Amino acid sequence: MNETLLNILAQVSEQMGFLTPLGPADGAVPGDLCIAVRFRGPSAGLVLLAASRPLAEALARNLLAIDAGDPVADADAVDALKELANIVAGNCLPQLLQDGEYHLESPQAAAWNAGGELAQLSCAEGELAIALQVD
Amino acid sequence: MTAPAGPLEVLVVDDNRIMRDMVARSVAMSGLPIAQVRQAADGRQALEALRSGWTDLVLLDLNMPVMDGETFLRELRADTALRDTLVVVVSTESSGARIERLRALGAGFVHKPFTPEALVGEVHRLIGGTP
Repeated sequence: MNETLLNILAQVSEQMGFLTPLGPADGAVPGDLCIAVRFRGPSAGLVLLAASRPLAEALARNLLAIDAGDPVADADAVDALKELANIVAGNCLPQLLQDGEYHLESPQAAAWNAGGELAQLSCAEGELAIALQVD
Repeated sequence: MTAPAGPLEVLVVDDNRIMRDMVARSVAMSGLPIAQVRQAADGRQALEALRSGWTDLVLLDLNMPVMDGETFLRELRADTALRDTLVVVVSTESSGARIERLRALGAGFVHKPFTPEALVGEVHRLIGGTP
């Protein structure tokens, strides 16, 4: 578990996603949704962010101010997770890799691929996992 | 750049619709005098929006398809009709060199994740008022 990656994930989830981080998780990587953000700059590679469905729905509710009783559309859950992935990626690259100017491509739905630096976070709303992979 | 005389016409530019909505909500709840908040998904759409209607303030993401935020900002400053538009960049960017380039182009900067207070504070700093 990469502590820096875990701390950035927890901080962004709380500040931007209004989620409630509880601490590191060590179970299976949540397999419901996964987003990839490809980057290039001083280093090139991929940030993967995986989430359980309940967490992605809670994130969408928080970001879009969707009432608790109303359903969350699949597209809203995916777009909310894309924005979280984008912000986490932008914050972790200069801290974990060489400092400099990074270009982040638009986040895309992807399949989880374990490798590189990893962290898993348990939140009151569900689980998150992140991987930072350098080409 | 001069402070707007009346309620602000705002344009939020971000390729993620959820972030556009979040920024628009932050602005709407900020206490700033707002006339209207419009949205654009990339720099090219933003230039078209600016040319089709008056805008006082642009809240701008950097990493976007079609035209990124820095290219948009350079084109904006090169356009004699639009060059004085207030711009605050809202981004995860951490490169000091890139942030300095944006500031040299007259843009404010707010780092994501941001608080509504930070966004409003930067707008006030650009306008020259007090929060």
